[in-house]
Amino acid sequence: MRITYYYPWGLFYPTRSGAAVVAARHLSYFRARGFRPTIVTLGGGSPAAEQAFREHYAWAEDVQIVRPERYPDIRRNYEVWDFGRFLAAHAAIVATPEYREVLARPADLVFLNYVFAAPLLDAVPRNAARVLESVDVISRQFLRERQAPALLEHHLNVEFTLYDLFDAVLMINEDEAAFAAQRGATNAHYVSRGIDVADAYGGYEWPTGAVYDLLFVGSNHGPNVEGARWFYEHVFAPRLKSRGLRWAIVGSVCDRLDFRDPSVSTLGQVDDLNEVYRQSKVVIAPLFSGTGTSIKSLEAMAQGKPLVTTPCGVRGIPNCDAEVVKLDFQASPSHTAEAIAELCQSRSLRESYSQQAIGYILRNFGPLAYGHRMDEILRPLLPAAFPSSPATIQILHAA
Amino acid sequence: MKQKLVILNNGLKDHRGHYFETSISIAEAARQQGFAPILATHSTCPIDLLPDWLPAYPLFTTDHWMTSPPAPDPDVQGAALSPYRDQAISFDEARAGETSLGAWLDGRFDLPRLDAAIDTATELAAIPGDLTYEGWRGRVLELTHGGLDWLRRGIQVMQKLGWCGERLQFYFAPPCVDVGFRRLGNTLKTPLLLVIPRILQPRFYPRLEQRLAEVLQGRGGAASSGSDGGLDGLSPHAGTRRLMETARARLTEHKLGHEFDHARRFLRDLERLLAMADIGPRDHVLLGTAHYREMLAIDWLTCRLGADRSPSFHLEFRHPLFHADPSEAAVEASESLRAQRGVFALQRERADERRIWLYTDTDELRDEYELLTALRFEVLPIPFRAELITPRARSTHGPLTLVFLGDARDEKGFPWLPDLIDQLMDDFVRPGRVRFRLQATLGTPAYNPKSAPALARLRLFGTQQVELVGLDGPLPPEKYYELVSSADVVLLPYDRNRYRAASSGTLAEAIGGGRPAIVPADSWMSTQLAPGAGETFHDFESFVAGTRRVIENFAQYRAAADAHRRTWLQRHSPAALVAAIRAKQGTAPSRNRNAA
Repeated sequence: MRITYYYPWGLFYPTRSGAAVVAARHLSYFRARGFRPTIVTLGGGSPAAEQAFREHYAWAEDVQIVRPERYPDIRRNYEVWDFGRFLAAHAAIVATPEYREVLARPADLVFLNYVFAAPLLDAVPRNAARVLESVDVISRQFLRERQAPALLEHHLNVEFTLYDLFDAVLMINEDEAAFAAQRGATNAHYVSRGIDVADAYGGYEWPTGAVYDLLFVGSNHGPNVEGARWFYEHVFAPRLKSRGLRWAIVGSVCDRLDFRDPSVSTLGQVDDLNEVYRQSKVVIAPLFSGTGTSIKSLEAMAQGKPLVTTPCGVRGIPNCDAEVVKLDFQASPSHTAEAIAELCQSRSLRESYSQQAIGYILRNFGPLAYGHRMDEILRPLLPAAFPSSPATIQILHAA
Repeated sequence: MKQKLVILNNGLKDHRGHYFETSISIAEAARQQGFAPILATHSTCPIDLLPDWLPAYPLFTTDHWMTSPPAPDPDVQGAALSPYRDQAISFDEARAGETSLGAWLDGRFDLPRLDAAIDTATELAAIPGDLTYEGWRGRVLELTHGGLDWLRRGIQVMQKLGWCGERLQFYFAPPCVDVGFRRLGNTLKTPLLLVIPRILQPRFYPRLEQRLAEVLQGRGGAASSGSDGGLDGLSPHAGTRRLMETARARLTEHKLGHEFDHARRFLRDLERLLAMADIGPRDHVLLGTAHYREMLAIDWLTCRLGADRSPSFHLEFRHPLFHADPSEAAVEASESLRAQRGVFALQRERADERRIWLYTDTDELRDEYELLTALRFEVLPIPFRAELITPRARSTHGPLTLVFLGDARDEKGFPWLPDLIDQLMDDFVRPGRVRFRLQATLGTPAYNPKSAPALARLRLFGTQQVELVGLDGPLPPEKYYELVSSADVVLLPYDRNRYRAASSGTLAEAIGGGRPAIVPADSWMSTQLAPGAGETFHDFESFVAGTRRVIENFAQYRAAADAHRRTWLQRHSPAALVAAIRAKQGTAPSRNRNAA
């Protein structure tokens, strides 16, 4: 099957963002089904990084990198964080003969990431099936702090209208799929984000004992910073520190934290996150706002870690009451502290949560579940490309 | 693409009043009837009040009350804001590949033309937000933005101070000062306010305008190339400009120039709405609380858009014009009414050119407006969600619940309630035959000076006897309907003069819920009550007597109210309102009332 696959954030190997994880999952799925897509991405990297990317995806039909720096119309729109301009940037790609030729190649399936890539459809073959990975209701994220909610509605109106250009739109969060359906996007489907659980079995604690009691992983995104600060001020400093608990914080969130405490290790970016997971007893996710799916929570669960988080921290992770300790941190900081302390003290309790979390991820977010759901969506669009026998699919997947 | 029905409620800022309720109920009905509903509200309305399925555009900086300065302009940078741009490219054309998606998007975003050579650095620096300014141009722009920001804030503070000062005088100045100045003003009004300006106006203003025009033309032509409603200048569009100038002349003649400004601002916001929500000729816009000033703005807009591009506008006038029975003498005696007549006459002159339908929600109001305007007004059903009012199977034991609903306002008779309770105390309240649940949301005490002391008196009663609800603010729908549902009897001690012709959402809910009600006599409300389904009153004594009769004979009243319920609901519902709007599809408005 001929596939044109578009990803707008540059090289997605190695995976350094949630969107890259999603893209990597798509391509793993295609490979497991024996499909070889033409990968098109906007923005490259260093020659070495591009070489590594091309080598990693050498099995693909082709890799095309759109270079905005060569084209002012693309660059000047893509440099401004604005929904309209991102759309315009993609309209400019279509207007560039070099890339129009790539997009116009014969294809059975055109698979785009993010709705602002929709103008590319002007160039792709009209008989191809069209699938959009929305990743999130992305137009909401373009709204800047001082902008009016009416502008948000304008963005949503355009986003959901553009959904109509696709045969299927994949949503990574059940709530957002329901929201899209409410707004008339009848082709929106929830597909749980596939998580690679291959490493999960190595994620248990070190036999010699954990170095850290608590672990928080986060980027410098506002909600992460706000959550970490709140947790330190209301839970850790007044209620857990005195019990001798040690807290590790990983990721660029450390750059924006202003508290200094010997009980808190701000590790910043680390080379091997899996190792830090293994060195920790409990993962916390004190999140109070956010959209989409909480990737850090999924990753913690896939690592087999007991997770203590808020209702916001399990957004996009349905029916996980037995697998995650879900608490309203702000309503009762003392109760939160007690629950965390109890988990840190009881190894058997932690192991119980670990096993349940891994089981949950395998059932709901593992490659088999993901592949099955993708098959359900793509088979009606591409009947000739899919083997009808489930047994054949299993074989393909195993391959 | 579904047809859109825009529910425009520029007074909607929170749960207060019936604006929220009517908007949501119409939106639900529109959705059920195959429309794509859209809600447009005041810019301060928090969108988290609204359901996810309902697209909301909080864009309007003015409300219909005009009791506070316009809200700051919402930042909608990036969106295409003019409905006059060529949006002939439909999405269906783009989807079919007949035109490019880029062209379709170009009508929805204010984007630089892709084929234009633009200096990227300058362009980026001109956009405030997450940008880094570079070089001296960047610094100049940064300083300019900062200065403008402070200037804007300063102007807002001054506007607020001026507005507050005007109102504070009513609090602090002793009554004799107010009376004295009024009498002095009345004595001097004729020479000062009427004669002198009328001598000066024709001499002074035309010269000033001419001079300004010369200056502006000398600097390169029209100062503004923006929309008609731009607040910087009048329209470059000849037809609209003529209409606006005529309206301004008529309003300033009656000292109502500020209403002209209001209309221009409303027009600007309406233009933005139509552009952002992509409203076209197949769509409908329902303005649920209209006044002549908003009608003016809509008239200007439809003039410029033309009938082939303009949506259908449905304007519902719900505020009464006359304090007593309508008459020509009352019109002649009122400067405001004469001004309105002049403005409506403009509308009448172009009967066939617009797609604007005019409505009221009561027969009495229709008669008032038709008398004033000689235009045809139709009567729309009253929308509310009757299904949210649970039927109340009253047991024979326990006290009857008497309920007051809505904001605590003087005109709604809230100040009568403590005295009513006192009067009923010995016979009904203390023996446990009656209890009160009263909505006590005192939103605007400045305009309701009697309600605040009444609320203080009500707080003195025991909570078993008198429960006050909504003290913290407007009730959200679920709590409001819980209060309506808990009622055995609904009290409406409204001012008859104010509510002679106007509808009452509260009464609509009482009748729709099969609850007996006590309403002012000789009013629209009294005409809606079925015989035996409630009582009417002329004054406080008859209000108390009526309430006593309903309590003592509750079963009979309740039976009559129940029987009337079904008939009422067949006529008044959100679905009936939406159907009435849909029925206008493909028809032309009939302007002259004699043409009906």
